[in-house]
Amino acid sequence: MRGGDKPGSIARDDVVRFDGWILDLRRRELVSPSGTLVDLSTGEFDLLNAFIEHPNRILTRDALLEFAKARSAETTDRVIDVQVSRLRKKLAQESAERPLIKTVRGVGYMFAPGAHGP
Amino acid sequence: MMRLVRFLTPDTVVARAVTVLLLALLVVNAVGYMTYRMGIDAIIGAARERELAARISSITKAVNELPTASERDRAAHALSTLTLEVHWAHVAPTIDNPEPDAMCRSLSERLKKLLPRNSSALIVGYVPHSDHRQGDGSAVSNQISNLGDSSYNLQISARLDDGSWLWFLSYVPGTAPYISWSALLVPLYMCVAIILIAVLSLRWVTRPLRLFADAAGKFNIDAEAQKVPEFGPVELRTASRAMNSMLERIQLLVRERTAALAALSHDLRTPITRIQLRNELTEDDTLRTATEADLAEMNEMIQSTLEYLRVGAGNMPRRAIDIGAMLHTICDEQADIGHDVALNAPPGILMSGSPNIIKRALTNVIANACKYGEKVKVDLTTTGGHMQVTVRDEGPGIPEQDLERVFEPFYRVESSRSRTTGGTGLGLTIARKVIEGHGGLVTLTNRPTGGLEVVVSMPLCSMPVTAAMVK
Repeated sequence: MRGGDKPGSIARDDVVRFDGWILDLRRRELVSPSGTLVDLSTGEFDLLNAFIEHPNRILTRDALLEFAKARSAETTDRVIDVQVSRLRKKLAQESAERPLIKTVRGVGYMFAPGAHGP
Repeated sequence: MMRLVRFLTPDTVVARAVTVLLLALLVVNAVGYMTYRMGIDAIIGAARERELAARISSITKAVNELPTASERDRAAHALSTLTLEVHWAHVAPTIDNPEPDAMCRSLSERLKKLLPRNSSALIVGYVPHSDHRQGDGSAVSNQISNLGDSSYNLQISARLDDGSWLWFLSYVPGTAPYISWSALLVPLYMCVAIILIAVLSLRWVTRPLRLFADAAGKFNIDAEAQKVPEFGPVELRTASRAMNSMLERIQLLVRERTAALAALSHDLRTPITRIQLRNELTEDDTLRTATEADLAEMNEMIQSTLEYLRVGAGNMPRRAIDIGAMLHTICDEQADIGHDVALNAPPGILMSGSPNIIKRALTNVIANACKYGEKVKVDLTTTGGHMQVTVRDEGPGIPEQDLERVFEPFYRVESSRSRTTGGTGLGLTIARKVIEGHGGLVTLTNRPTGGLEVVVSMPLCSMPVTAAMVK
C-alpha cells in the first residue's frame, strides 16, 4: 500500500504494483488483479523482477540472463525465451488483451505496464 | 428363524426399546386376559350348574305330582325351554359312560341333595348330537345342540316315583371365543400409543448419544482441542468426560511425539552441515561425491519429515490459488530436469488453500510419476464444483496390494526400496494429508494399458477473493 500508485509508475518497496498485479518481493509472490495467487518459479520471479526494475526499456537476452542471475552454466538465450514465454502465459491469464511483455524482434523483450504508457 | 431373531433384535436403541416394551405389553395383557377369562368361566359355570340343578329338581317334583301319563308328557313338553328340553318316557336312558367328568359329578351331587327321593335313580352324562335316542322317539330340537359348541349334549335323567323317567337335555356350556375384537382393541390401542410415545421420547433420550458419536467421529488429531459435548443423562456425561480426557491424552501424546520427532529432525541438520563442510576437505573424489550424495539424501529425508509434521500442524491461511499456473510451474520444473511431462491446463481454475502445501502435494504426486513412470500426462479439469488433476504415466504402476499402503507414512513399494531413487516414503502421505485437509480426495489406479493414474480432486474456490481482501 505504500508508495505511489499512479498509472504507469511502479511502486518500489516490499510490494510492487503494476496494472492491478501485485508482486510481493519479500514473500516472492505474484497476485493477479482478481486477487488470485499465481505461482511463479524462481526463474520466472527473477525475470519478472528484472522487467519491473526496468520498465519500458528494451532488455536484451544477455541483459536478462544477467538480471535473472542465471543459475546454471548452460543457461542460454533459448532458456530465456522459454522462461519469458512461461511468464507471459501466466500473466496472460488476466491481462490477455494487452501483453505486458513485448517481443522486440531480433533484440530482446520490453516490459510495458500501465494503460497510458510512461 | 434367523430372520425372526433379527426382526426381534433390531439395530437401533429406539427400535430395541420399542420391541421390549411391546413384548412386555403383550405378555402382561395376555396373562391378565387369560386369568380374567378363567375366573369369569368358573363363576359362570358354577352359576349355571346351580340354576340347572334348581330347574331340574323343581320340574321333577312338579311332574312327579301329576297323576296321568298324558298329563306328565304334556307338562314335560310345556316346561321345556330353549335351553332345557324335557321329555317324559317309560324307559330309562342308556348312557355308555355316566358321570365322566367333574362337572357331571358336581351336578349329580347337587341334584341328589335337591331330590333326596330320586337320588338312587339319577343318570347324568353326555350324548352325541346325532344320537337322539328318545323315550317317545321325538327328535331333539337342534336348537339345544346349536347352543353349545361341543358335539355332545348334556343329558340328565331322573326316575319318577312310578318308575317312569324324565329326560332332560341341555347343552354343554361352551367356552366363549377367547379372542374377541373388543378384547384386542385395548391392547392394540396401547401398542400404538407406546410406539408413538416411545419413538418420540426415545429419540429425545438417544439424541445425546448420537451427538456423542458424531463428536467422537469428527475427532481430528491435528486440530485444536475438541471436546465431546458433556450433556444428557448422567451415564452419558460420565462417558463424555472419560472420552474428553482420553482425547486430551491422545493429543498430548501425539503432540509430544511430534515435537520430539521435529526436534530430532531439526537438530540432525547441524551435524549434517558439519560433515558436509568436513567432506569438502576429502581429497578422494569418489569418496567425496558418494558422501555428498548420502548427505543430500539425509537432508531430503529430514526435509520431508519436517514437511510431513508441518502439514499436520494444520491451520495455515488459505488464499485463492490459480491451480493452472501452479501446475505449469511444477511441470516446467520436472521438464527442465529432463522428464517427459505434458500439461493440459485451462486457465482460470481457482481453488482456495494454503499455496505452499498445495504446491508440495501436487509436486509430490507429479514428481512421483516422473520418477517411477515415463511419458507423464497431467490434465486439469473441473467437474461439479471440484477441480480434478489427473496424472497418468506409462510406468510399471503399483502392485494392487500396495495401492492403499503407499499412502502410509514411510511405506515404500518393494521395487522402489532397492532402487537408487531414494525417497523417504512420505511423498504421497504428505500429498494425501494436504489434499484431504482441503476437503479433497486422491485416488490411485493402475491403468489397464499399463502405468499409474493418480486423480487429485479438490473443491473449487467457491467465492473469488478480491485483491482488497488479500491485501
